[in-house]
Amino acid sequence: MSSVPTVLMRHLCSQAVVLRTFDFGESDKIVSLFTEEFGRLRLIAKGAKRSRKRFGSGLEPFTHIEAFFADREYRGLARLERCHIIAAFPQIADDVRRVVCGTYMLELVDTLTPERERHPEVFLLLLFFVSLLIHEAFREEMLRFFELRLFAMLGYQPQLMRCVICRAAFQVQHHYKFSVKRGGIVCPACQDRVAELLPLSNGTIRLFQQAMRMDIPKLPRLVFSPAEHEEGRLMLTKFLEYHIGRLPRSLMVMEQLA
Amino acid sequence: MLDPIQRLIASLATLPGIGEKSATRLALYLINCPREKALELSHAIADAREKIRLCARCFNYAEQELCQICANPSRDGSVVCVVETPGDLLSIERTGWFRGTYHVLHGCIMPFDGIGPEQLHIAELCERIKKNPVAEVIIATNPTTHGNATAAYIADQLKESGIRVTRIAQGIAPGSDIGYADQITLKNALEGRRDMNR
Ligand SMILES: [Zn+2]
Ligand SMILES: [Zn+2]
Repeated sequence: MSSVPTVLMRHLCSQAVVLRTFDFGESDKIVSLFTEEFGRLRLIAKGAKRSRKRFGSGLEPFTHIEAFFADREYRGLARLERCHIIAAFPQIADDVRRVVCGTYMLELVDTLTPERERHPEVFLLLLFFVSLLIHEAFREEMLRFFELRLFAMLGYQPQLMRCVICRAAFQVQHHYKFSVKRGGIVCPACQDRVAELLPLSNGTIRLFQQAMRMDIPKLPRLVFSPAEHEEGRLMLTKFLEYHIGRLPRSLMVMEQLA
Repeated sequence: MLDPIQRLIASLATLPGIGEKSATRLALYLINCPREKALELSHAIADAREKIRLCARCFNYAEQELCQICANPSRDGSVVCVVETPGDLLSIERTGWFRGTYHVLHGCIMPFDGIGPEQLHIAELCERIKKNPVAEVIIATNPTTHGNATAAYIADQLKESGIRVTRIAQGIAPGSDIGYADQITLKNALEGRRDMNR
């Protein structure tokens, strides 16, 4: 006698950062986690809407947890069974700007990473920047480094080392512009051949080149001038909008706080 | 075009917490029960939808320009309790303990969903308090990241007014066990402690 094999139930565990939750039905929540081992996962947390007994405050956004879950392969959502808080950052909520900046990072990870694609380097980047949010030294301009490194890790790295048209290496004496569509800088000789160019000064290009090479924990040391930050922000926002086809919602809330 | 029964099932199934099965059960009940009973339900829905609007002062549900709480002269207008939803207001009302008035935000700041201060009734709260200064604003948004961030934002907006702004206590639930409380709950409980012999 042959029988259809029952679906394998795997009990798994991974460190994760909570990206977001939303209510599901009368008593459950859907949780989006970025896990170290399995990348972005959506799980159902049974009973989490009605009672906080099982998960406590472990499902609040930004929380660094160890998540224990049951995964029936190829069948619906994984089920979050319990979680253990490794680090919580409730102080973030004392400052609405930090919540909005932080949510913007969570939204980028939630939007740009494919489900179940392992990216441990993204996990470490996110964890580092989330813990940076509670530091006195946190500045909004640090989001640019997060964007830049995240894009690179996921294969959207803007080309800042050479002209995207003629491939000639970056030279300080030239004045470059940035093409969102071509995904990189365009040298003066090639600028006639490309439409919709954004200004990008050499100071900003070099700062971004440095930010690409640096160890992540050293990134907060890099400093922008206000003008560099403004053009860098504009360039990265347009670049992001081009790739995801819309602006992140948390960015619109950020504008309200300006 | 759906037949009338299918149409009823489809409408019921759009209600929160009602699936296809429950919708079918409810639809069959409504068709089989006395006619007046089913019509009373349909009139009650239509009536509520026609007559209920938001209170011009506090944004609670209201039948008149002002809700029953704002219109009640025995309520203490010098204390305003800020809540996220009319449901939260009802929960506080059910305690029978609070005699002040309310302000309903209709949500909290949720950047992921594009909800910022402009999508909530926060500017109206500031305006209301500027026109009629009060003694205290109690912020009773949920003790979540987003509820706390909303509370911090409102407190910041009211800073210059010099009005006393308080936050409801957060901590260990009655009947629960300290050994099972997580670190955030314990931190909040310690911060929100009160004197016992004073
Ligand atoms: Zn070129
Ligand atoms: Zn009212």
